[in-house]
Amino acid sequence: MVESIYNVLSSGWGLLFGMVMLPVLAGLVVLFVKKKGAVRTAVLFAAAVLGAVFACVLFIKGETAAMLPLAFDFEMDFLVTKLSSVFLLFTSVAYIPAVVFAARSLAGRKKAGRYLCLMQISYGMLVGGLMADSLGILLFFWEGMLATVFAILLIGNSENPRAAVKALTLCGVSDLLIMLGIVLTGTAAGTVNISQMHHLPMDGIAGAGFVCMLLGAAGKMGGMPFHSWYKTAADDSPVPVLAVMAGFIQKIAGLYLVVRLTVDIFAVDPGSAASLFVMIFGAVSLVFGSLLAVAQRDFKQILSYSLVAQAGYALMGLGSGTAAGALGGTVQLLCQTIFGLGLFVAAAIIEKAAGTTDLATFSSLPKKKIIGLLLGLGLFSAVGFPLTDGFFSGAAIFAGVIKSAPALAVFLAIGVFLMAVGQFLPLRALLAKGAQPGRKQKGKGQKVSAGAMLGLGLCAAVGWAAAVPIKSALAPYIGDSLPLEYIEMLPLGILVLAVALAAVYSLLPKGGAAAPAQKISALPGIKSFVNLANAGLLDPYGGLMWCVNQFSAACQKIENGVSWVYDVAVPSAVKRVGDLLSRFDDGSLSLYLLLAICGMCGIGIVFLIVIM
Amino acid sequence: MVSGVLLLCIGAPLLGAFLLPVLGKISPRVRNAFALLFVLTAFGSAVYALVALMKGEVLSVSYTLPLGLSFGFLADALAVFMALAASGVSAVIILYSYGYIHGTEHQNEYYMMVSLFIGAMMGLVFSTNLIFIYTFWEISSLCCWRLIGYYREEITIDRANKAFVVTVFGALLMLVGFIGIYGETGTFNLAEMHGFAVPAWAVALILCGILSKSATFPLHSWLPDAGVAPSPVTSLLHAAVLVKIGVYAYTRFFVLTFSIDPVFTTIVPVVAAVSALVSAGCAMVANDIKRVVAYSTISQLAFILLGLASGTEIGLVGGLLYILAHSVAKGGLFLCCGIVEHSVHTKDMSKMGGFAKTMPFTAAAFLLCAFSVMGIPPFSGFFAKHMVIDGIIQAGHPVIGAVFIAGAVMTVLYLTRLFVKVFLGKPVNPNAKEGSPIMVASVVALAVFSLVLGFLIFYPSGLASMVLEVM
Repeated sequence: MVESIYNVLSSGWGLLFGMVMLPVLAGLVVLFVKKKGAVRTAVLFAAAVLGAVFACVLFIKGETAAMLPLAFDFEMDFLVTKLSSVFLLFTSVAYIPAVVFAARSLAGRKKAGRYLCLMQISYGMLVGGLMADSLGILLFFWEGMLATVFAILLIGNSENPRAAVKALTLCGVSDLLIMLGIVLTGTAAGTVNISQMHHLPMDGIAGAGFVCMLLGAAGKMGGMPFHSWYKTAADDSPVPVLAVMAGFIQKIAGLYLVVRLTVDIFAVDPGSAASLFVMIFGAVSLVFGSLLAVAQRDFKQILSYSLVAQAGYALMGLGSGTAAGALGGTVQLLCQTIFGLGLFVAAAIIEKAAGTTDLATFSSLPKKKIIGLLLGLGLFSAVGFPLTDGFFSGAAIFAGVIKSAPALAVFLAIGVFLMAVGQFLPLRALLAKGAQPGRKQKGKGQKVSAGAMLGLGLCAAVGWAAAVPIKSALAPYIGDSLPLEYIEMLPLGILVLAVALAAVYSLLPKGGAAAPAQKISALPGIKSFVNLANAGLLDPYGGLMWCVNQFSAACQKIENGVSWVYDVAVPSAVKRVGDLLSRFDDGSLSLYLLLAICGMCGIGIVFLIVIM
Repeated sequence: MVSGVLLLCIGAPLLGAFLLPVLGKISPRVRNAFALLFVLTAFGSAVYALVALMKGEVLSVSYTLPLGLSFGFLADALAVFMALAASGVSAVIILYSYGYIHGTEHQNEYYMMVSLFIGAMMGLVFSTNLIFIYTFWEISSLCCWRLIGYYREEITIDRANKAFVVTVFGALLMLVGFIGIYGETGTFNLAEMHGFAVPAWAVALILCGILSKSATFPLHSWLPDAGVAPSPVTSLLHAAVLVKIGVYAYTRFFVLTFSIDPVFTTIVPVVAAVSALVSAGCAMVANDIKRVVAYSTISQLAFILLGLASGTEIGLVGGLLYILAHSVAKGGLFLCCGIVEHSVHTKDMSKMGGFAKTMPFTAAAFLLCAFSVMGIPPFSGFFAKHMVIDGIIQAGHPVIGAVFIAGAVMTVLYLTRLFVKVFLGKPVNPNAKEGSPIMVASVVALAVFSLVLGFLIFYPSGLASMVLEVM
């Protein structure tokens, strides 16, 4: 059976149709199934399961290579390596609950077919990228997601498409950075095939290529400074779609590229400039993303910024240049991708029940203790609480950072503390007593479906305990972080201390749902930072557009100057010459003779110049 | 028969053009049908030449003239590629014109000039002689002049004059360059000049002609102003055919025939980079819908020129592919703008918005074409742009490559801005409505072709790579 499936899959067309086109075709079917939520769910479920079976076969068989010619010197090279087959398997299995959750949540909703179709196309593009051997083909698939993200946000709000434009701009910039990185790396390596690049030295053009691709990939993961469209997108797209697109597809795409860059393609040595660059980049995302999450009062917004912080957390490990850090970062982000889905499920449950995801309304939610319990399971894991998976991956990240750049461990500890505070905020809001005055609930009902709760529970459980299988699958290709040495007990201590402090600080103080966050937000320095962020001054989109507008104004001045030459200067010069010549037209024979001689001399000079 | 196909390809639209006013007197419908027929004849002949080329047969015809002169036509891979791209898109534009030009004055002249122009383009791409290339070049300028000034208003006449003066001035400089080459080689026949090292001053003069025709900074100013012309004209001139003459000539002269000083492989990309950025900046602030698309054309032509001038095989194939991809997509964009302008009688974007609700097909077609110009996969523009940038990096100019990536970012920004301002937001004009079925069908066809071309990019790239075989 496995052999038969593999024989079909192992050609270029087999991989393209079996892995990439299958979800796309399912999406197209869903598009044309009108108002049949159950049928849509069944079609998507079947396609996702079939995709997972195919991924499983590829995982079992090990390496699979295939090629499809596309254009001159441009082929679709597929190579499913051991590492990419782990990602492929994880993605396709995790996509099953994700797509079911999205299909069920969107059932009966307007334009659900379009949303689901675009989501499926995006997923197909993600899978194509995971199987690509050529960086150009990887970009081909992932840049295609630009169009789908834009279209999804446009469907959400076509009258005020700010989020769509912002997403297209920022994702477009990050994709073009990847493109620049690919051409630079390709120039340095003499190839764009990942299989032919291994631990490229990080100097000159290759170093620049690494930086460009890393920034682009981090942008896909939601790292600063490309994160800001998440927050805007949270307003313009349904929660399930945002969860799958931003929290799952884009995140895995970015993570995969970062893993290939840091573990496979380039030689990132501990303590090297490249390692420091990635870790500092990660630290900025972690600390600033967490701070901004703490300053929010809306669950969806907190989730959006948590994605930024989580991306930074993983990047710090991946950039450390150590096996422990790389494995920790990868496992952390993969686990959190699943648990992140759980958080979005929770957001959907809450939004459906209360009509809002404002933290102030959480205390009056139905079944809030069960929601709180399930939420807590995953949240404790997300921040690395002992006995959870997050603890082991967090410890590995700390170990890697301490080994590579000990000073950055301080920022890591601060970041984890802040991230934990942000993550505990919704939990605290659920535990607070009594509804907040002045808040009206406008939800359709107070019912919370058992299925949704089950979904949340499953995600939480996976977030709690998925690391072991993921870690054992990845460790042979990235490196193993265990057993811990004596020195690595230090990071465990720091991690435990940071999380425990955050838990005590967030969960115990009395006051409103957001009291601890308010205290942190009011601290000197942080307050200014949050104010700057709220004013949009830290949003790179604003800065980018300012630069573009200034540049465009300068270009317009240049253009005005050129137009002046054509429209004013040349015509007036011609007119003046004409006026001047007309003065000679006075009927004087001698003057005509003189002009004729001058003209002939001129022609003679030109002739001499040409023949000489 | 074989030589007859080439003569038919050029002669049908070129000579048939003079028949159209007569047919127009009999019946406008017959005239319209024949206009399309002439262009389809050119397209069909180009397809025939392609089939022959695939079989390894290069169609050619040559005649000896008095005074030791001669002329001929040759259907090599480059000529066939250009003829297919130009005549294919032109046929769609003529179909669109049925709806757009209907009811305006001087229709006989319109169809005559369009047909003549396409004939001139066919003649230009198949010619093997510099003097005939120049002749067809000037015929195209003449048609361009009449078509831009089609509405006969004072401003349109001024703009038409400007376009004519700039392109003819450039062409005259190019002619001086040709004469200089003749002075050195004693022939105007391109086949006899293969590998000839052209003096730098002649290259500079010929480049003036090429850059003025391809609207490259600083000789670009006529193109945005020519937006006063009817939309099918702007589509034909600004997107599909006229502006491609310059880049075709660059390939024919400086890539396939002459040998030029290597310094030009740096100068031309630098000029292209400046052109790409300045025009992209202008597109960001322009408020006239057709002006934005015209600036976009200048910017994208720079990409084409960059690929062709990169001196690398992948860059050259990318540049050629982008000629095709851009012709289709930008042709579609101009035609979409035409539908909008036709409906709301303004080109001012500040008076537009929300048209996606009233013109859903046009909006969708515009978006698909815009994606191709932006270079988003799987649209054909992606492959072409990627290959062009790959080519310039391979040529050892990573900084210029980076500048063009910035230009690509700007492309995403200004086309998104245009789409958002025109098609999204709250509807500001409830009377706006879709164009006639034939106009909508034309833009949808081009949009779909932009997408399909991406999936089938293997085929045009195969033809484009055949160009390399004669290098």
